[in-house]
Amino acid sequence: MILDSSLNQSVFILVISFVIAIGYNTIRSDSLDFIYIRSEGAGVSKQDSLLAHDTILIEPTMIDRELAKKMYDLGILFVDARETEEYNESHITGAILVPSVSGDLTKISAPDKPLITYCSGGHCDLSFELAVELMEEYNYEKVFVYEGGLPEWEDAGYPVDRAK
Amino acid sequence: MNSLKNKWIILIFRLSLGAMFIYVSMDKINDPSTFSDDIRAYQIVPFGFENFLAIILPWLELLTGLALVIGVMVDGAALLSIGLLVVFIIAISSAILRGFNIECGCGLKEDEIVGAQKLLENTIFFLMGLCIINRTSHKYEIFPKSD
Repeated sequence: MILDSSLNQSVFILVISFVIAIGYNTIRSDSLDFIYIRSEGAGVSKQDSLLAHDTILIEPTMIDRELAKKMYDLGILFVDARETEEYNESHITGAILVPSVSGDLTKISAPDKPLITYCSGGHCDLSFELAVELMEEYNYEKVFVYEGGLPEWEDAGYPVDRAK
Repeated sequence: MNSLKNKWIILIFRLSLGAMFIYVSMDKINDPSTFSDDIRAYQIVPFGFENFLAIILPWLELLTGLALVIGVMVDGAALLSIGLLVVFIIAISSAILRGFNIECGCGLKEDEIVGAQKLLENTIFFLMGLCIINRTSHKYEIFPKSD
C-alpha cells in the first residue's frame, strides 16, 4: 500500500499539515503574510528620510545592517549598550560605551543629533531599552536601534576595534 | 542497547516525543507572529520566509505529535520528528556559535534562551526518534496495523 513506506507517510503528514496551516491562516483574523517584508519608504533613500530634520520619531526605530552601515558612513554616532568588559573586548569602531557615559552623553552628542544603539544582536534587549531611555529621559530626538548588533556587523567585515 | 528496543520503552518514547510536539505546537499556532519573530532572531532564514515557516511548522509539529501518540503512520511521524529535530539542533548550535543571546522559540517554556540545555533536550528527543524508527515492536499502533 502506498502509505506503507515511512517516506510516503512523512510526505502525507507534511501535505496535510500544509493544507491545514494555510487554511487556518487564511481564516484567522490576525493572519500572517506568507513572506515577511521589511517596511521600506519609497522615493528618497530611507536613511535620508529618517535623518531629515522634519522627521519626527515617536519611538526608537529599528534599522538593519545596510541602513546602519549607510548611517555609519554618514558619521552618525554609535552607542554600545553592552557591559564594559564586552565593549573592551570588541566594539564597532568609533562607538562609545554607554554605561560609563550615561548622564554625560549630552556632552558628547547633542539631543538633536541622531544616535544608533546596538548590543549583541538577535533579541538582545539592551540596545532597545537604552534607546527608549535616551529618547524619554535625555530627550534625544532620533535614536535608531541596530538590530543585528555587533555579531552581524563583524560578520559583514565592517570596522571593529578589538582588544589587543 | 537491547533495552532500547523493548516494546514498552518504545511506547514511552513514542508518547513522550508525541506529547512534546503537541505541547510545543499550541502556543505557536495561537501566536504565529511571535514565533515568526523568534525565527527571525536566528538570522538563518532567507527571503523573508520566517512567516511561512511560522505558519506551517506548528501544524507540522501538531500532526506529527498526534500521529506518534495515536499510533498512526508512526514511521513517517518518527522520520519527520528526526528531520525537525536535526533542523532545530543545527539552528540552536549556529545561534550559540554566533554568540546570539536569543529566545529559543522552542515553545516548552516562555523566555527560554538558546544554550547547551536546549541542545541537550533536542538531542534526547532526536535519539528517541531514532529508537522509534528502528523499533522492532509495533505495540498499540493503529495504522499500519500493529502486531
